[in-house]
Amino acid sequence: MSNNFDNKRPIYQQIIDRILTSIAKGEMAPGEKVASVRVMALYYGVNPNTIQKSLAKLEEMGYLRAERTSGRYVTSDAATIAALKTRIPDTIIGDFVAEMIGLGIAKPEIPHHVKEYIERVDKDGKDIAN
Amino acid sequence: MEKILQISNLTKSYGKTQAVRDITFDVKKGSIVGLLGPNGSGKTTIIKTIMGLLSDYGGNVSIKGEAPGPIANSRISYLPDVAHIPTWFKVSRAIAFFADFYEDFDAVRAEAMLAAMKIPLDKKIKSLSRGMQEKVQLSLVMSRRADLYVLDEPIGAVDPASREFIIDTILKNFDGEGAILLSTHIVADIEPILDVAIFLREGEIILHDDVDKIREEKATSLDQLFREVFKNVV
Amino acid sequence: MLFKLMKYDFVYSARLFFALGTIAIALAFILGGVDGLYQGYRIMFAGQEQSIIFTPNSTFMQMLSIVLIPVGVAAIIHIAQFYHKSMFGKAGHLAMTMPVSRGTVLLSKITVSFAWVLYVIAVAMAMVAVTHIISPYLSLTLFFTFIDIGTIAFIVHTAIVALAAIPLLFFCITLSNSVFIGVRLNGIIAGFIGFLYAGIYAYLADRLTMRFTPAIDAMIMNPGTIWEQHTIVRVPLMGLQYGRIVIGQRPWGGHDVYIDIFFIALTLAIAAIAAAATHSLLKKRVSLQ
Repeated sequence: MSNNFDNKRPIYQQIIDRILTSIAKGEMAPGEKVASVRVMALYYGVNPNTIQKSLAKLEEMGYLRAERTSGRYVTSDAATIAALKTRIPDTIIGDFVAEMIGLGIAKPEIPHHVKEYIERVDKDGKDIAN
Repeated sequence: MEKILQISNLTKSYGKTQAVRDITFDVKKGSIVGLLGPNGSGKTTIIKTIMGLLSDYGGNVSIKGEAPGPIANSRISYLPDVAHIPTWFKVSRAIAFFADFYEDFDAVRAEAMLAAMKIPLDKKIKSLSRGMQEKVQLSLVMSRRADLYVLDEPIGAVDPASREFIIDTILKNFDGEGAILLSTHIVADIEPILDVAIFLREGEIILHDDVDKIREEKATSLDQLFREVFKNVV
Repeated sequence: MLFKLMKYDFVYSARLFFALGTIAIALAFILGGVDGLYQGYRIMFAGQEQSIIFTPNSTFMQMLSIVLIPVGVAAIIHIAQFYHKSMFGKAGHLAMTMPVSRGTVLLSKITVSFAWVLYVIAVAMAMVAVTHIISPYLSLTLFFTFIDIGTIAFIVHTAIVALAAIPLLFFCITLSNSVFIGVRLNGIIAGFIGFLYAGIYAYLADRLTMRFTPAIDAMIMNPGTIWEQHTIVRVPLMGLQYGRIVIGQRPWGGHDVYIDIFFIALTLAIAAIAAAATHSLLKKRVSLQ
């Protein structure tokens, strides 16, 4: 399995981002048991120690909860997950805005481009939700 | 974390040529350490010294407290950069050989791995393709529950598809109880699984750090850094 | 561990030696046929009645010598090859990193090589037997003479010399793969050591043959019987001298059994010293490229 990580940034950080996205999307349900370090290492194609670092950080941040004997679980705390759903769009939007500015589009112009794009796609009947 | 391998001030010369100079590093239990450098930088020399294939060196090498030798070797699973298992062996005989001499060898696991690769046990190793031969060797080596796995250029001689498979196999069989030391000059494929990177140039360590730390501090991939550092050599 | 090692060493080297044995017996068949035809010619056209027994300068013995020598030389080469490839070739990465002491590995190789020497002796004897059977003009009774006296001496003598020669050979090969003061020995050094080996071996073989065979005679039969005058085959196997058949009085007259024992002991001492030296090199001076 080839991983598609950006090797320029710490991989453990990218794994944290992916897991958070999973949680925000509901792919990992609140209270659900997280897969073991080994399984995740194989899945992502990275060193288990890296996974360990990511999970430990996520625990620290409050998104995961560790049960001493049975492993790690996604937090059941609804508020935390709700906050996540705001935080992630922030990151995505942040990256997007940076890109647009990089292309030379002025900040006030950006919402206009977004609106125009959505209208165009709706008219063509394309499904943008995927 | 317990140190499985400790090397301090290792120096080895061949006559007037100095192969490696003042090498010092540790390998901790549960970690995967990469010895990275272009051909001729001394990676194989270091590895052969650990395995007891080169005597006559200066400095200290110890594997869980043992000097290189048969006792240390019983705890190390070694994959050299040559085809060391006689190629006229049948695969089944190679398995029997490992089972005979290594207590920590898991024959069932080895057979399962080979079955997954669709390699029949009664074929002679030399009748397999080069990439398949490497995989057989690797499967045997990784089927041991050793304290230290020493892999010399495990992906060097194979095609890109096989590389992925080999890296996958290494990860699958790594259970954190042992440690892995591997050497290569192909960094891009291997960097996701490394904990620690050691850059070796002309027999000297020029970089020795935790990989994610390098990414954080230098905002570069290990492969990019490697190319930059060795652009005159590679 | 030792027996496991030996099992694999046998398997590793068996192919070489079975090939050697097959070719050797095939050559013996050919030799017997050629000799038979030649003798037929002599009797039918040259009017010679006499059968070709073990006369000192018989063509047959010369021909047999010529064929036995390559067999012996091939045996040495096979043994040398086996040792070199399994210890210093690619398989050396396996042999020298096994969880077995170098001494045990060395012992296994010496033992297996020695077993092959016995095998080659058997092949040589089979060759003689085959030629005797094929060539119809050789008397069977004299063949049994060969078995009774010469054969035992032949086997024991060759075996003891091989016991010294094998460690010596291994020492030379190991030396040429060793490192001293950072310098790797090879090439010319190895060649020189090789000559030294050949010299030591030749001396041993010659001395032992002269001294040893009488001891066997003395052990097996009483002096003064008719056997005393018969064939004494000295056929040191590993390369340097072959088949000198002597009929009649032993030229060296009487013998002293103690000198024979001395030379046997000397041979074994050389074997032990060479083996120990090789072991020491393997432990401390090896450098696998």
